[in-house]
Amino acid sequence: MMVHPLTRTPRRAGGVLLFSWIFFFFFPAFHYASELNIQLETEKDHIRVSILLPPESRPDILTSFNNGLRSGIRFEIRLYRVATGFRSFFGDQLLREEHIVKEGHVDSFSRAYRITTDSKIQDYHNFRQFQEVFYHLADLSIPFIPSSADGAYYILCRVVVEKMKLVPPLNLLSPFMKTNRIATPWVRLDLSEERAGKEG
Amino acid sequence: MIRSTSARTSKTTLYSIAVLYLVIIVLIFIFARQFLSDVSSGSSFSNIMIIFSAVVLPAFLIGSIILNFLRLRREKRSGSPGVFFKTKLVLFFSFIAMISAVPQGILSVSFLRTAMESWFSSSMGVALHGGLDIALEYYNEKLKNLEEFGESRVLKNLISTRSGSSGLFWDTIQEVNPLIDSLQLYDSSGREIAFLGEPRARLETTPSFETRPGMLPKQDYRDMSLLRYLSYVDTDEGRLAVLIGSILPGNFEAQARGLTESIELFTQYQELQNRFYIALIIVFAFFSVPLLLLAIIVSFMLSDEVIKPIVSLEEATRKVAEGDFTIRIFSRRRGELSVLIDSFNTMVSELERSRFKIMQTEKVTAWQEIAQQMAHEIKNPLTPIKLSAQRIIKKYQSGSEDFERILTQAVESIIREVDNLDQLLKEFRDFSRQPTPMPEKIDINSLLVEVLATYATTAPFVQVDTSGLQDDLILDVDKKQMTRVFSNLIKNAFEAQENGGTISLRTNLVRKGNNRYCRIQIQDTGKGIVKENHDKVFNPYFTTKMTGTGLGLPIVERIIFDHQGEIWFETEEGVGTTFFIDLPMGNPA
Repeated sequence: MMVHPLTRTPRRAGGVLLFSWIFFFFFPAFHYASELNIQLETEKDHIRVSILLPPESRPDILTSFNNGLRSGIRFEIRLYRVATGFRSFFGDQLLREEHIVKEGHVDSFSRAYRITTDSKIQDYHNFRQFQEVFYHLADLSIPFIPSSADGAYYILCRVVVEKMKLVPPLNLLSPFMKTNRIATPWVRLDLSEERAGKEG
Repeated sequence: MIRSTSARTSKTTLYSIAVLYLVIIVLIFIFARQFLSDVSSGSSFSNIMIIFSAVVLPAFLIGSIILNFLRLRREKRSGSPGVFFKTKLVLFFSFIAMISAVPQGILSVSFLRTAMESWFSSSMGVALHGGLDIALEYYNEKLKNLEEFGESRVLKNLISTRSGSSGLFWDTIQEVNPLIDSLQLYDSSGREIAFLGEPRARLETTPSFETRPGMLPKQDYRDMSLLRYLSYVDTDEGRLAVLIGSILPGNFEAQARGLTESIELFTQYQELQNRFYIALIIVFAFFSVPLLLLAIIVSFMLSDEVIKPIVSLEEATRKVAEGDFTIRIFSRRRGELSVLIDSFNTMVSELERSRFKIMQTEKVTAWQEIAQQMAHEIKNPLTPIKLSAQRIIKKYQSGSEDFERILTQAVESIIREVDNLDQLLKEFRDFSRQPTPMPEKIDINSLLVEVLATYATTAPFVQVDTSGLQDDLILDVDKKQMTRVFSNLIKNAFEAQENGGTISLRTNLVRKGNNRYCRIQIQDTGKGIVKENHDKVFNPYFTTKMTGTGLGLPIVERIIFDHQGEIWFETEEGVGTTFFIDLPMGNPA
């Protein structure tokens, strides 16, 4: 079963919102006013998430490539359990957090657009193909076993793109280069409805 | 006993500072690591740490400093002892912390700038780009050689006409193109029919005959990278797939990647260097500010620690000055201040002993003087009593006609002198048995005016000025005793105004150190006190009056002393005399 994003603004997770607000206050980034294409699939003991940054939200990274620099993209996924009663004062409970990072650049030797992840290197001779893979997180599996039947869960997702991936120690400039780093708003997907649908 | 420092407080303060310092260092370490790895890729935990170290901690430190400053201001307003010294110490410590941080920052940034400009000089850029060009040229040369040789007629002829041993065939290939490291032949069924050259370059899988001729994707192994070119040759045996390979050195890939990354860093540095140094200063300040704030808090704590013994000393000195010689300062600390405190305690002990001896001596002397005065005062009426008695006997024995008259006069004289003696003894008893004051709230102005009124009617020719009386001066004094004080002084003032004049009464508030006093002035415009009598005014039995006992002013002095007050006078012959009384107002302001 597929679920598409319903809302862009989280209703709960006040703590996350507060942290995000303060974080962005200090480390501002340009927000693209667009939604992510997210597909969420729940299985017995895990959930499967796919995220695609739509073409209208993609920044110009070719300029970086032409200058011999690399770009970076980070998919951030957080799994929360909705807190109730006294615990809600401290915000919802963060169960799991995943960061998937990809780097892209033009390899001078293979003369190809190269995507580097933790484990592998992929070369693409076509920029369109490169983009489809670079901006897409496919089938990320997150272990998820609800601890109680009546608990409410949700995930928050967002994508952060660095047009020019700053290398240490120049990454010190990250907070000061607003236009270099773009971040989508957090998108919330409730898992309760999904589970209810499955059980029904 | 005054405690100069509480050992528990000192230790708690020390531990608090140490813990706070460690917290800041750990947070800075986490924050620095986050910055140096990637500030934008922080997990939610890292974000909390960042927010804590960026917002909460400085806010906490600033809050603490503000509270300390407010406390200092309050102490300054209330005139707490040592507050100016404390202010100076705080400013001094803060200034020292600041001036030590600034050159450190400048030095660090300058050093980093110099080092980075040296590392990323233009010659370094030329070398890096040159290195990449050479690597690319080498790589392209390999590719070109493979492509050209793979499609060359020479290779196809050699394969078509090959005969004899495979070793001889490989030697021939190597003679024609020594850059080729391997050659694999497959028949149309995909079976490998020959492999020549470097065994590591052998392709284990069979290439599909549907694959178009050309370069195959580069394959990277742990110790080498392999470039391969696929071509097809039609021979008598049928169509053969030919795979020629060329090995790139094992470290080529890693070195090429390192070179690319170095060029990337160099390019970024060239583009962003100015912004980088500004960011560096901001980040340095960001890390330094919490430590600087901590230094200011430490300066407050240290100032407190430093001034505590001084304040104790000041307090003890004040108490000693007030006459409390039982005061001692307790200090667990060792060092110069403890030596000073020990010296102070020794000094007070010595003072107490000396004071006791002096008091003993003064007491003996005073009693001697009083005894002499008493003897003198008692002897004075005894002479006329004795003369009167002798006169009665003489007149009686001689049978004088006016014996009755003489008897009456003599007995009256004896009675008068006995009355004088009785009055003298009564005042002496009052002086020696002065009761303990029983304080009550008294409006001092009302009391003065009340006493003044009783004497003013007896001397209407003397003018009275009470315009200098300040309102609302309520003191805790013994009303009866204070009435006696004012009566004595006002009576003396009236008696000094033989030819008229003015008596002025004034009251006002004065401050001595931390204590407030009510000052009462009783001024007359009489003949004043002659200089040689200045030191005797408060001595018992000293009087310049014909009818005085000489105990009035000593009793006044005693009452004022019992009220923890002070009395003195200023006088000028022919101008007048002013008596001053300072009485404590109670709790210090």
